[in-house]
Amino acid sequence: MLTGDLIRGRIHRGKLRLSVIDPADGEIQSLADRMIMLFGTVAGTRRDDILASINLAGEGPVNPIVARGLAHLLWQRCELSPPPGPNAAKLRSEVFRAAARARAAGIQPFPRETILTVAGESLRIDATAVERALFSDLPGEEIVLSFEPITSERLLRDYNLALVQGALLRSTKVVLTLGRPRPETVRAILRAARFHRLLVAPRKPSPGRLELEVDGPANLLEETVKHGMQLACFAPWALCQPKFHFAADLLWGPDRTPCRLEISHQDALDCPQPAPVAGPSREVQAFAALAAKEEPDWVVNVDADPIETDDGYWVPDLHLTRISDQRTVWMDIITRGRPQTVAAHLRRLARHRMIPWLVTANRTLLTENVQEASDRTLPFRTIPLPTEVFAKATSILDHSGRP
Amino acid sequence: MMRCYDVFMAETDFTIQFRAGTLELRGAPPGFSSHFAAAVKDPRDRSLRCAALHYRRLVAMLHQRKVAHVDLARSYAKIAFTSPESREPFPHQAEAVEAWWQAGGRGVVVLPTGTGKTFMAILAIVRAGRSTLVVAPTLELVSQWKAELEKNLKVKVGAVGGGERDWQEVTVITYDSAHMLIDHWGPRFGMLVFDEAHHLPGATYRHAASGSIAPFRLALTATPERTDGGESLLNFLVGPLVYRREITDLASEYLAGYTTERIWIELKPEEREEHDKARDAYRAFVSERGIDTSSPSGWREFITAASRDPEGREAFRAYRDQRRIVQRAEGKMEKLEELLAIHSGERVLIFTSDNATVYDLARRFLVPALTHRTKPAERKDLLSAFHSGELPVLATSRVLNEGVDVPAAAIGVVLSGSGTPREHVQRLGRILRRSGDKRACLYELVVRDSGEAAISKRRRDHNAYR
Repeated sequence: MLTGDLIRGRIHRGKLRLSVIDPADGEIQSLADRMIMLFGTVAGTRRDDILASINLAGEGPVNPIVARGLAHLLWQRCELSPPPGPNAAKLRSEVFRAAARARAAGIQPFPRETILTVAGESLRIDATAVERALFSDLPGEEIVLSFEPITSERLLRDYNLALVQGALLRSTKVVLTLGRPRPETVRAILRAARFHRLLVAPRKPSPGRLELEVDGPANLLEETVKHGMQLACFAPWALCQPKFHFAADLLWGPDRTPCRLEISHQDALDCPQPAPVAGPSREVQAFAALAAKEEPDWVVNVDADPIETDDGYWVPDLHLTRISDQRTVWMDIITRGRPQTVAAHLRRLARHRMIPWLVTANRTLLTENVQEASDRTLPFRTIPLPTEVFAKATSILDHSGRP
Repeated sequence: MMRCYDVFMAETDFTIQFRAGTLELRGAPPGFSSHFAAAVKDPRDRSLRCAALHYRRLVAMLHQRKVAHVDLARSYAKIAFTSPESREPFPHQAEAVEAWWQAGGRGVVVLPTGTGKTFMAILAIVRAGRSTLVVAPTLELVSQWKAELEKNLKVKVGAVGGGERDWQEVTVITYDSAHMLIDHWGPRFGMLVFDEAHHLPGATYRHAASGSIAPFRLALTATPERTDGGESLLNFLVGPLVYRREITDLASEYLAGYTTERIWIELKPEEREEHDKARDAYRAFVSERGIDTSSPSGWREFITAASRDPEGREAFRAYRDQRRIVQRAEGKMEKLEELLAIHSGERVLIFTSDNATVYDLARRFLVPALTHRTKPAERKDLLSAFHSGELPVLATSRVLNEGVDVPAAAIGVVLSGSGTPREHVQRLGRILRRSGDKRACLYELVVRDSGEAAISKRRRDHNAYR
């Protein structure tokens, strides 16, 4: 993801136009090749020593902000480590105190070399090495241990994605529309959203189309970095789809100018396919682990399939199966979001009472009384307690007929 | 959590609730928003909503119009603090508190560094008698505030920031944590104190003021003016300017006496040649593109033009080169050596505009460097050794510009800096705190016939230098 100073874009008639790069542009390809070649040779070099070379490699007709952006992405592929040597903080304390004593004693000329030499004696290093080691704990002194190779084609595709992700950090609302998505695509996208703790409201505006409104940040009046980060992490799943439209409302620039960023498959961003979601969120995993230990009468499965409803889809976080009769309750564990969105989610699920569902949510998110869903809702403080969940699930199954 | 219900609560569905830095108004009477323009309709849940900042005005209006409502927002307490007995306030402190109270317990107080803003704020906190949140820019200041509040108010004071989360009825928090945790504390404090309040109008930090319902607000600063003119926002976020005293009003009596000295530095011949070449290249570009660098938008125009083509990038490099030569001029280093010898035995702060120069100085003169990279434990050790005189010299870029209490410092040497009077006044303020019979001196090393001359003229555009 690119930081704000590396994002180029301008607002025209309320729309933000990002300066995406054309991966087929020869000049840009050449710049990417030069950069990759440079990073391929930096193992064992100090970070600060590489900066000058990066500036040189970035020279040419391509905008220097693009060059800095590519370098930013390549730095993320480097493994860095502090240089070997004495403890810098301890050495500084010793050297600066010795220097202060020499000044207080009025020794003229100031015995700089002697102080450094004496400090190096116990470490068996000379004055020059002591001087170098004084601030060896600064980031600029870090040594590059290794660089994970990348092709220029992939780097340029990553750049455009990172550009969009950087812009999304300032978003207040996102609507993603997919044209004729396959069931596995729906499943992957909805699960990715849940994995990144985003609440989405899936709708079917017309047959074959799926519209996802991603819940905005907590505050109507401002964007939040936390929410922007989650959206940025989710974005690759949207941007790699064959047919999509992505609209984000942003507060852009130092003046927080309201504007809209729209991207579709026609922009040919050619974003790389994201790695599949590693698994359910931490809270879901924690609950499943706890439940497996404490409740032998139930099986907890965290791999729940999307449930198609007449007004969209629902992807539960997990499903609980009672061993005795093999009946199942589908369940959500909600830890973040706005109380209003959680309430809207409950109202929507309440229209499908034939499905045995249960929503557990952080109690701070259950401040709105949704009467029609009160018997299917369970508040919790950190994670849901298995005993409470299974008691509730039992009650739900006992009060609903067999489907 | 305390709930305050209006007397009409049994008869109304109109509720005011705090939500994430906003007030959510539900069940408001028809046409309510026409009486209260700050409330806008939230299309997501069809409630009326306004920034929490408007709480005081909203409640006052509802009471005035006798509108029945249930106040679920307010969660702060009334507290009867005991007045600090340790000392009598100085006249300017008592006047400032009175002026602030007369303005309705809202407003900005401008006092020079070292004249007792903290004690003045403590008097204001006692007067307001509400649970209080003090917002400060750095962790050092959070610790300093916590110690002073505990000493004077005799209550347990919480601290939030830098990994610590201890909420109490009186709590000190960093600006960073304040805006990030607004959901949590927004309704819980009735009095806010913003230290170094010139930071508050920043695009992010301002949410710490707009997202709180606190009816009592006090902003403290020595230098409210900002280059972006953002100080005008303080009126909206905190209240009007209610009291102001300058360094010259209080020097010698409440502050150390001081002198400021500008020392002109000549570049070495090779530096001069390189500098002039770079400066000419930069100036030629600016002139050719018709950019007026003295206009408010001049710098932005230059950056935009410089990023467009190789010629612009060359001009930008030339600009940086001439600046670097001036900032690290050999003549400055020689003069600094001389000043360190003259003031041996006194506490000296060396100010630069960038960290690279700080580390160069540290290596060359073997003096400690204090930057944002310095870890907390080392920073604490350096400041304590500076105070005791064990390490009498500190080189720093901007971290000591404001807030940190270094009363022993008597000599300041400005090697480089910005052209803003605010930074210069803050740096002067570091050495003006009274300590024994010290007399402070601020040296400013300026390279003759360079861009620094104009910068120096701008930064001295303050009555502290007249």
